[in-house]
Amino acid sequence: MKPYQRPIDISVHQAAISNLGNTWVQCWQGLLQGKRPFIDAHELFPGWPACPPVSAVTDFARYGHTGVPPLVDRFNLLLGCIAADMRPAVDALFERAPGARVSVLMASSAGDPGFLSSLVDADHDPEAAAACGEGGWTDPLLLQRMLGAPWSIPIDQALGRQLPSQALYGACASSLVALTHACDRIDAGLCDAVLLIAADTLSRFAAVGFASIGAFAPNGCTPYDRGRSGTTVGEGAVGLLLARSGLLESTEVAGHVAGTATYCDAAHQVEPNPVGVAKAVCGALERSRITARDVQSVYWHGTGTIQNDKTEARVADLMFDQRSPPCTSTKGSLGHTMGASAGFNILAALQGFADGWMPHVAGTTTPEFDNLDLALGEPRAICPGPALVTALGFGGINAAALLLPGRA
Amino acid sequence: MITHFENGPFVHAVGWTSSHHEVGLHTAGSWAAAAVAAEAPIAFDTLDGVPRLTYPAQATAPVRPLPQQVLRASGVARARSAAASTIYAGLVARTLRRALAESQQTSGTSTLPGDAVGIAVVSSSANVQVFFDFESVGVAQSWHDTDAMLLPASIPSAGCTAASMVTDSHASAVTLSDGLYGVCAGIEHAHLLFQHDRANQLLLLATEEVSQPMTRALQALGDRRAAYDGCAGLLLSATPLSSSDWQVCAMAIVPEGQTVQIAKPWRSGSRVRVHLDNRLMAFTSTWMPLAVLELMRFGEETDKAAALIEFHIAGRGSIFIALRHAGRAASLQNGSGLQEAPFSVSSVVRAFSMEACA
Repeated sequence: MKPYQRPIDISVHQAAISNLGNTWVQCWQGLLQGKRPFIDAHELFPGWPACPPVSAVTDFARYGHTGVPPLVDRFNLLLGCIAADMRPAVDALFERAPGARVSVLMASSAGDPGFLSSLVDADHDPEAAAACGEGGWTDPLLLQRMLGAPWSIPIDQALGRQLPSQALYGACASSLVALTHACDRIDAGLCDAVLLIAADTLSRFAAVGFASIGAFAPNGCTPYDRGRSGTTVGEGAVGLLLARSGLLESTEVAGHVAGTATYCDAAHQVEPNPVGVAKAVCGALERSRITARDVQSVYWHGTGTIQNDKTEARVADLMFDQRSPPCTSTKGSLGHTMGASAGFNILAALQGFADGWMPHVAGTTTPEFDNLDLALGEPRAICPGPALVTALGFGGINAAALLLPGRA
Repeated sequence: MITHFENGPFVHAVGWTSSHHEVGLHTAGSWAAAAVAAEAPIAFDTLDGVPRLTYPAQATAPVRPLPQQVLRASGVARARSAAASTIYAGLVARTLRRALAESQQTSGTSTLPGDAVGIAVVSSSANVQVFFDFESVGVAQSWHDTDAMLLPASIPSAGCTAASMVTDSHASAVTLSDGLYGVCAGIEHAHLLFQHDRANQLLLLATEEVSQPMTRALQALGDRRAAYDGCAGLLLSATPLSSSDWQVCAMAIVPEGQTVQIAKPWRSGSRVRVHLDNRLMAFTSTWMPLAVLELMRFGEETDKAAALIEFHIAGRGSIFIALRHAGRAASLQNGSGLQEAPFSVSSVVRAFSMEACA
């Protein structure tokens, strides 16, 4: 397996928006405090189907939006918010290297479901749709969104420039699948830097669907707990700037991507497969030239579903023998932000390098799996060594990445 | 802007579904088969370059559900709950995978395991009908009446993982949108997989479902594009599977008002040019593999060593893809076909006009 010629740099400038806050600093503080701000979606969206509490972004005030943006606007808003926060980093990069070839890669599990819901409402409940200010089938902009109008407009506007862009979907592993693609592009010399934006919003379909298959926790997810009963459907977005070695100032480098791998086991439409996950992890380790023994921390996908957590415990068995390195899941606080979730885990791993702490698994008190050295109850001190991030998606998409501390 | 592939992916086969859900396949070396144009679902009209359907254009959404034998032939699990685009992807993926196996038998190379074959799917329509079906029941009747089996089909990557499942291909599972641009990203993805030893082959599947909501939107906007309900895909390989394969050597995506300089062999080589008069990418993904099919046919008939695909998209820009014939590439002296254009926009427009007149 071919390693990257040089590890790919990740900028210290990062952006995040979630139920924990609208900056990465707020999100990180929320993770360390073990906050679990899950709410009833009825409070946000009139007519939302009955379902357990969700993880929702409630504060867009920093971006000039008061109140609760409707479903139809949320995806574009998330993209624009993240791009606005990443703009200084992109501007600085172009100041440093005016000729740099920079592109945008947007990763998502479901893309923008809001306009589709809006059109469904327009057919069946036009009064409610109109009350939300939605034009339905007479709104050409809405129809154009369904017919493939450029999705990057909010990003272009927020960045103040138009960069080559591409959208990529890899179910709930989207962030890491996109990370792999972005790092491969940089390593192959096809570009110098990639602004990776991962985003997913709440949708009625996902909420009802997860509830129907018994994978939606009634009172907030508790990953790896004996009493776990599913995940918490959520939304959020993350921004990362990846660059070839030497393009960023050394003080601007938060960490490096040493290796990445994806593996689609295609074993089942919704259930994960430990062998498939292990193949992705092995691939990332081999490409990084790092052994499992060198791994100092693991940020699992950790959704809190029966199958996911059991699968990852089995993967830890396969990879780490008796006992895993210190590990965690951020979903006890963030909920399952779907395609963006591994993006949050990347940020958590990088922050762990800087601060020496790993957030604990919020809400989990009675862990089921003895072989997982979980951070429980309070944040855990960790060594700033190689960190493993994993992600699993519907259809058997598995992905893994090995991150190294900055100036490694 | 221009990507020069030092060792670009080789196109070995093109597969597609017909209007009757049969699967067409042409592998390198058989491009000159006379029936190709008739079998392909989109004919590229050389007069104005606008893609047309060879069967009557679909003013309304195709009949659903798909016939049982089509669902079965696709190999897709829980096919009744899958999007039609997923069924089409399964049909073409299986056919391309068989073509790969046959080429390996012919060349005497060992059969490659599924871990060396990746899947990339491009679609802008995959989950629209599924989404509407689910949420319409929820809103109009009750959310308790919705079909939970539709959940896995509700995300864009469902077609990709289904294709992975039916072809035992695991090296990559990437789903892209943005029509023609997504196919370009898929070709680049193949290059990256091959360069990083992640895969030896990639099945690049462009699959679209003409649904009632999208047809309604097209009609509301007065858009009469060739909305092909089906899948067209390419079998891309890191190394040539035959001496008749075509290698992608350069790709350019340029903003509106700009163009690229085309090297002489590509100017006089096989050429397909398509103009799209608005920036919406719905249903355009399938045009690219079918353009490759069209172009290869002419290339084979005329013994050309170079080939060029051009798409001009009003409001967005242009896409150029340059290819060279594996067995005849020596005459091209290693050129990649495309260079940055040193001339102005106005001269470009003039050049195109003159060419069109000629």
